[in-house]
Amino acid sequence: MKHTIVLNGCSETFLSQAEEVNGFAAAYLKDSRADKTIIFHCTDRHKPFLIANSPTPSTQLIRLPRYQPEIILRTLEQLEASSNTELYLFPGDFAGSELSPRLAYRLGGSSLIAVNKISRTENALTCHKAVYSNYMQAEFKLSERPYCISLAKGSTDPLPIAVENDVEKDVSEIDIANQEWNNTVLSFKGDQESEPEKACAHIVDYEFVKKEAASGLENANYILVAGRGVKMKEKVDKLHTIAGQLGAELGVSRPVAMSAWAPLNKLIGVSGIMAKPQICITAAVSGAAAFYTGIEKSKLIIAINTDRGAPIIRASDLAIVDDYEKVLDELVQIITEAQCKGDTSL
Amino acid sequence: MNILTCFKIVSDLDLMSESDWVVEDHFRINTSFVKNMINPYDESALEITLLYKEQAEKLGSAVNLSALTIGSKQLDAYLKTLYALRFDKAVRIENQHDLRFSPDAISTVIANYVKVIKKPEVIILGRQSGVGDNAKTPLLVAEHLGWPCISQAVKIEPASEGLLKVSSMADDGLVIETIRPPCVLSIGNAPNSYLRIPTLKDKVNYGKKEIEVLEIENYLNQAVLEQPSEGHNITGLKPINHKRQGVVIEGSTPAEKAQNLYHNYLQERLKQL
Repeated sequence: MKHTIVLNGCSETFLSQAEEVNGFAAAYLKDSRADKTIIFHCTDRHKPFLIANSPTPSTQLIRLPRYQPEIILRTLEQLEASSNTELYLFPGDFAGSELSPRLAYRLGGSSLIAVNKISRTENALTCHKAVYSNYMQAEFKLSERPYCISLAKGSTDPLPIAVENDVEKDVSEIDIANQEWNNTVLSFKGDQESEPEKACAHIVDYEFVKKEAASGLENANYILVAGRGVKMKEKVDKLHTIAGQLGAELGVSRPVAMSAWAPLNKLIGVSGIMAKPQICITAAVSGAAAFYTGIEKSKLIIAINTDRGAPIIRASDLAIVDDYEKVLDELVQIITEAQCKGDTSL
Repeated sequence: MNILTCFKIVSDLDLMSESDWVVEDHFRINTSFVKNMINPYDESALEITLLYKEQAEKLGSAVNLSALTIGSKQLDAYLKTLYALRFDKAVRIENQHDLRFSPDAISTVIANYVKVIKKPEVIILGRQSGVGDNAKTPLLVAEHLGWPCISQAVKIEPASEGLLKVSSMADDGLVIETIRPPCVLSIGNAPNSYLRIPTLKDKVNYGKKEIEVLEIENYLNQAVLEQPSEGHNITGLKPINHKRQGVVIEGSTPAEKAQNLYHNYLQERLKQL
């Protein structure tokens, strides 16, 4: 099989995209031939970094004014129409999830989002993904080529790109602002508007507000998670303080984030961060599967909940059936005393 | 401006117990005994639509809201609630076919409905729903119509001259765009977007309007309905095992339990962090 990777080099998340896809390819595409990595980017300044971290020896850089899905899709559609690539691999971020099915539609292929495992069978690609809100794992057979899939976040461990000094990378470049390229490749010769302008005609004004500083949850070793059962913002604020006293990072479940009791960058679960700490303490979390997926790579899960029948109890290593506030207040006191005695690393 | 908001009613899967996850013929799972709800992303889509209408009308712009769902007569109760919340039109496309994993079929139906009524300039949908977890319907509606799509939208405000100001989440920030319709908006994680509850008075005054019921066969080929051609077929389904040891730490007080947790399980681990 021949596969092509598509990455968004306009985003600060480029490296994690590259390593995510590289890890997946190493796990499931050992027998496949990597055709190239297509990287959309916005500034020449980052080119050496993008090329160095491209997961394949061959890289196609496509420069555009900013990440804009309509431009990217028009470009990929034109560029790849005659390609014999069988599989397009996209990362599991917002960009990958929106581009993969739309590209499949345009190229007459088939697509699946949030894929966590693949295998090749004759005339089909077998893909696995979570369905039923992460309670079930489904197997699908994709039959129409090209297959365009985006990955499930956290499905494989990220794999850093190997630096091979003796291998020269094959790099080709396109600047879509280049009118000549528009005229020849996209066949819009003579048009008043350039191709990027056409694809973005619906956008009258654009502003980008950079994300607030990363919460650190993705790489935290120790996290405390507030669930729906905390019931109000003041309690989440208090848990934030407790997390600090415990030396942990605070995360929240979706109901807490959707009630705006905590910022979205604290959201853990399939629609947020996939954490992989050594220790995860959940407070008043029920344990819905879509949330649990975000902590399932924790080495040790400790659940504190008043309901012994809550799903999180069975899905944890250790559980305390009690009021989370009382337990955590006591735990803070114990740890503070231990710190005074020099009995802990915190 | 004419806005069509599409929504799906789903079972509250978090209420299913472990033993309820039984795979039946054709990879079906009986979820009928748990309560239904509006898919959370679609709930956000509906509330954001209502917020937009309120803001636009304050600025003197007329907004006509339609709500569309696909399914059986049981869904009419939700459509009546939307009438009570002052949606102008509630439409249900009758369907009994299994379209759980058929976002292309669903998006074709929505796109064909839009082509027939020629009305909405804006289509708003939640980005994903449980059961199928396909996360493709808004994107494919846009493709079928040849419209642009803004995904992960979290806020929609009126702008001058029939334009929309749309805020959407990107992987590394927030994008705020002023958009000229037509467009499809796919709603992502939008905090504070739980659907409002209608007043009793509005339920009485508006909740009894007639729901327009259409046949799905008018919008999708019968053969496709019976065998949706999605380029993919489901060939397996099994529960995901989330079980761990679940050792319950005993103690007569919270203090005793915390002591037990710290001394027997946490102390050494914390030193290694």
